[in-house]
Amino acid sequence: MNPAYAYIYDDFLVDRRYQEILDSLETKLAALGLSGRIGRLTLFRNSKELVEDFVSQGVKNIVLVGNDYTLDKVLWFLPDLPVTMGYIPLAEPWGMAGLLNIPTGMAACDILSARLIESLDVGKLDDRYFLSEIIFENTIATLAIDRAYKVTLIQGGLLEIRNLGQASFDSAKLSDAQDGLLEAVITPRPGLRGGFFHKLRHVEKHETRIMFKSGTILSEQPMEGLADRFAISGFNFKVSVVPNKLKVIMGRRMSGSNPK
Amino acid sequence: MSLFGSMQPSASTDKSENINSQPAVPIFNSKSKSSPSTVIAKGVRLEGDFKSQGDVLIEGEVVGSISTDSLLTVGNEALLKAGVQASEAVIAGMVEGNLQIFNRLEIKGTAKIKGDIVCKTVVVEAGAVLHGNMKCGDDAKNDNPPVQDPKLNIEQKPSA
Repeated sequence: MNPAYAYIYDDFLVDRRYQEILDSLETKLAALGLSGRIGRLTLFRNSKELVEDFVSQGVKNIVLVGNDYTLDKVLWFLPDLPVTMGYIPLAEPWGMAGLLNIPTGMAACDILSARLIESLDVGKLDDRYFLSEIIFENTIATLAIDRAYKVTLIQGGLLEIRNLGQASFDSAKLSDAQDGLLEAVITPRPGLRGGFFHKLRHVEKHETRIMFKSGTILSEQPMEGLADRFAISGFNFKVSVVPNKLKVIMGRRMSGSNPK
Repeated sequence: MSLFGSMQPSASTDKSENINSQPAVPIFNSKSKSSPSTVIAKGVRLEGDFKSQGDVLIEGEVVGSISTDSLLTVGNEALLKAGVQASEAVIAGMVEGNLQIFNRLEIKGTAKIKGDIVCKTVVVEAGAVLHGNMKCGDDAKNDNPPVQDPKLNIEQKPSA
């Protein structure tokens, strides 16, 4: 057993249909010399305590096994710990795997073995970290940026704050998690961009895009949104980027990054 | 098909349609083939002092000041009540404020500019409306118009 590795299994993996692939996974990891301790997330188990317990025992690599929701359960606190994150996606949704260039299933073990580590920026929403994006739908929020200017949706719409990639289908436009910036993408309500059928068209022209480092999201109405698929609500949110905060074992070097 | 005709950008149905109206997004010049790093789209208002190093495309409203080291494009539905500084600019919308363009300024036929202009070279299409002084040429860039403080010159709407 490699004491530097710990694997966090999501609770849905207790289902019988995952038993076979977990057995194969553990066999392959053992063959690669990467087998480590295993912790299982459960409904009433504090994920932060579980991971911190591993770290206090000398674990240097936390590998999350499950799907994108597994990442969400851990990523909100993981950047503060002195560990490198790995990801083995075994079930959908696994869009984050694509953004991190990690193949799904057993092939992800080879990525762990190759051990190409990248430092990624993480976003911070108040006291909570996020890796991919924050989404507020149907909001009339104002985004005040760097105390210099503010951006307002005149008639409301969709406000996204992106650090890495995006949750929509348009995977061609990926935010860079190594540029030290967040990207605000604001899309007015459909009425302003030509009605329902306009959704079928490419609407990039109607998206506001601004790069920034820190700002505040303000609204007179309570806002409900998602930060890395985790539900959030409130009136005001401070949002910022923390450069090079999270070390991740990735599939291949991100475009534009410098070899270390 | 008329059904899908409704999918076209709303520019062509605008009541204030100008016979000289240009495409909402002017074509970027060869120096800026990539998409602009900052876009302020229709339906969005920016208030304050905005500075950028990359290309900027404005289709919405800006109140304050805006400066970029690169290309500024103001679409034909955009409204700027702002002082403007840019390396290059293509103006197709309405600007109320002084413009200081260090290189090439292109004014489309749909443009309405109320303010003083300083630039190195200028191209003006027929139909453009200009109110203000204009100085062009190599010497002009040393002759800066004040980038006006919008608080002094522009009637501010109460913030949302």
